[in-house]
Amino acid sequence: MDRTEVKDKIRTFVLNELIRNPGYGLGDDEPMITGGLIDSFSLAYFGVYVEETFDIYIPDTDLTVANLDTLNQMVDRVMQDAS
Amino acid sequence: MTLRRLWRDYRPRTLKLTPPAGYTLVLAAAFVAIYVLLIEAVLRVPAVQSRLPAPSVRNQHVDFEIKLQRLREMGSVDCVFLGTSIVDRGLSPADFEQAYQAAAGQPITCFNFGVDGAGEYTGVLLAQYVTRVVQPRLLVFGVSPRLGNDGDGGSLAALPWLKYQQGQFSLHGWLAEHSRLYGYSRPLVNAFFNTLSGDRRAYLDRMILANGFYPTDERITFPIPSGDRGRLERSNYAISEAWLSRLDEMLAFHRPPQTRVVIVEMPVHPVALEGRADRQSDYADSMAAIGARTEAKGVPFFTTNHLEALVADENWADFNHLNATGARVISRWLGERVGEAVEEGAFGALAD
Amino acid sequence: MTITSFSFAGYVLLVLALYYALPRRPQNILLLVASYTFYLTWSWWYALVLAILTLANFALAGRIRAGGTPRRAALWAGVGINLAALAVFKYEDFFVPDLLARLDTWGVESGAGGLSVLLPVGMSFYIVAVISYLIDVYRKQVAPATDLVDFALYMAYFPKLLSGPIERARDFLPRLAAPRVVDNDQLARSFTLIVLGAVRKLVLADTLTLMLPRGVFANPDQFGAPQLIGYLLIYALALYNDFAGYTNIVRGVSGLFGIELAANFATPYFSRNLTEFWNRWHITLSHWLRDYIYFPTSRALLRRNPSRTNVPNLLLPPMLTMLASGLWHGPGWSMLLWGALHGVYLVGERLLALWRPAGPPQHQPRWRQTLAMLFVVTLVVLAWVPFRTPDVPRALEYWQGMLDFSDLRRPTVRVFVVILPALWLDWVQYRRGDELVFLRWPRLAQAALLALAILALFLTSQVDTGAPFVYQGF
Repeated sequence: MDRTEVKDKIRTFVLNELIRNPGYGLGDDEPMITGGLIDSFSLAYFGVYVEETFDIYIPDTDLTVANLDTLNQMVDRVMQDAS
Repeated sequence: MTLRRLWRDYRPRTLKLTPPAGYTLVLAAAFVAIYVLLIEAVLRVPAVQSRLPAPSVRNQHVDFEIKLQRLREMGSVDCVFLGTSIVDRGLSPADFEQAYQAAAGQPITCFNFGVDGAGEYTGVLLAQYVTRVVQPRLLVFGVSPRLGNDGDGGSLAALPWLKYQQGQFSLHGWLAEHSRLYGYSRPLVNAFFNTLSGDRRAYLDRMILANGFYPTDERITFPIPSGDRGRLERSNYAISEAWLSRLDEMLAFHRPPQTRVVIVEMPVHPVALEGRADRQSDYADSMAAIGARTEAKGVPFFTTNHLEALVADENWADFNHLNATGARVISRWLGERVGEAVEEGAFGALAD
Repeated sequence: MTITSFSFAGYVLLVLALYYALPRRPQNILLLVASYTFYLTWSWWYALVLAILTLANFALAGRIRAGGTPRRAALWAGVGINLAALAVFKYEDFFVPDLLARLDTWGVESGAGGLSVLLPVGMSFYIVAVISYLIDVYRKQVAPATDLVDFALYMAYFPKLLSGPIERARDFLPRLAAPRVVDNDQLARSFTLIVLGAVRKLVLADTLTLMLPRGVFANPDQFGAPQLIGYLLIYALALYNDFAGYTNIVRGVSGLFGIELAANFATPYFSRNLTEFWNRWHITLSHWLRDYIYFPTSRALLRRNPSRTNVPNLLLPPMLTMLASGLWHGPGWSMLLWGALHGVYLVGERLLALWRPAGPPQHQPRWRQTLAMLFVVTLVVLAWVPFRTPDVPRALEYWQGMLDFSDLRRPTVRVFVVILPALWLDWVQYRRGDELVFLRWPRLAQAALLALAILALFLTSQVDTGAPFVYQGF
């Protein structure tokens, strides 16, 4: 799976499930958690989503604001394990 | 080579300061100095000072600090009453002055410098202070043999301010004497936050008169409350050598014609001696011992426990403290005795 | 030895003098010795408990790493031992009397009527820290410590020993292994933190606490609504400044050793929602609870049913997390009520979010942000009632009293002399998003403010907190 595909999937998930505003123009490097767009607890959903969609387990302690604040960071994290 | 390597590998390298370091701290110290000077100046403005409470000399005896302020405000006095709370609440300068004037035919100004709970030695310590600062002609030490075992002067003996007065330098002593910020900060802060000590200071400030007297309208109750009962049970009227040596120190202030000393027995309520033969005999022995010492030094000793006028309960706040009514009785009686002594020529003039 | 005492300041200076003269390796040994010496000034018993738990956890982490089936067993044994230790010391009062009463009814003579075990100070903090370490070792997120000195220091490091911050081993152990430098900037940061902490603790928190009448939380029925509301606000500010002040001081002290400690507070009363509040209040504990309770339960539930609207998914993780937080703070039903209340708040927030598309709060109009802040502060402050009252009935009485305006007495307006500087301090930090904003001020302004802080510290040191000298019976 290439990066663009991963990013599209994650973007759709974030907009539909976390932000719940599919029309929101989310930037690739827009801080979502520190920017207050989603709360850090939404990361649990993200963790399960990644498990089920990409079969990658991100440990709870890695579900942090520092690691997963932007779309690009989320994609990086997935790509890191996918490779 | 090895040493150099060791040094290279192990030399301490945590602290790496580059000059100038601490410049802000130096500036801050300058600011502190400026603030302090400003505050000291403001606290010296008479209009400000007149609205302030008594400054603190940093001890636990709030009444002492208030009295110190009152004494400074009076400026000069002819006679000073010294002792613990039994004097604080038991001798009224106004009544003494009145009776004295009637008997001696001349006026006199007195100040009550009794300090609550400070131990018998307090009187000696404060006598040293007042003889130097206000030079009274007469020192009246009010004593009770019950205090025979409490001769150390409590925290006042260790007070840096008092030691500074005696020539022993310390930073706290110097600050207490010269810094208004140091003196006023504690009473002001505690008044502001309404702490227990702040409230007590405010209360005493209202209660203590300009002449140092702290009149109380409390009245002895029967049965004696449990706290007082405990103290009553523990009371011991046998006089100790240590206490007698304190008495000697009091008597040493007797240097006529500059300073005369009078020792007066501060009485106890009859209930204090009731039903215990040993107590009565201890009390009588103690009085005799005090009488012998004072007589040897030529110092008048006035005993008061025989005074019929004092027996009534209405004169007593508790078993060993007179209330304002009792204080009036004993102070008048004492003023009259001292006045008569002056009038008869047994004493020199006690006032200018 | 308390953190705000002169003896602690002297102790830190003494340890620092030795520390700066040593290379890194002996520095850690020195810190360990200094930490245990510090703990011994509290009680040899505390130090002994800590030493035993340190050795046990060090050994267990090794077992967990060893692999094979015992890994899981070793993890559970480790978590169990630590929780049991905490339960014995912290919650003994909560359930032991109950247990003894039950034994009694069964006719069993327990003989433990006088049992009273003292909770070693700081234990709640180091226990949760070491549990996170064991779990992280199990998840292979951190390698088990091979160096007993470093590991013992992780457990006992004296600046954080008494009340945190709760450090994760995977962050903290590398700091112990790294070279450390204390340069001018580091010194300035540490010093600023210490001064800020001292001001928060001694000037703000202690004086605010002083203005709370004795018994307001124990006998709320004796106070009118304006008083109960006012004193609750004072308590909220005092509690925050007390803990934030403590944390600032210990972070500053640790900074002098060149070892960073995590921030624990970030102007929490300026939060615009409850989730933000928990990212700003006691941050290291909140994140611990999030990582080791909220996420695992959330993920377990989501795996079973991936719907966001599934009731258990919405309800259980926040409730469990906040109840655990309540229990961690102390035994007793009122703490559980406090936790439950925050759990309900979080659930409510999640329910609202289901219907309302999320958006960054800072993109909302200023008035809406301000309203949201006031709303959050109100909820948080109301929840402090059971946090502080001795039991649940008293908490209910307090809330009830806040609505009874038949008695219109109010707290003294003097309290604003302390409240206004407290709010100003937070406002300045919040506006710049920087707790050390003062270091960006011109040097003259820094010095003027520092001098004011010193003066305020002097003045508040003049408060007689003890009972005054009262008539001693001469």
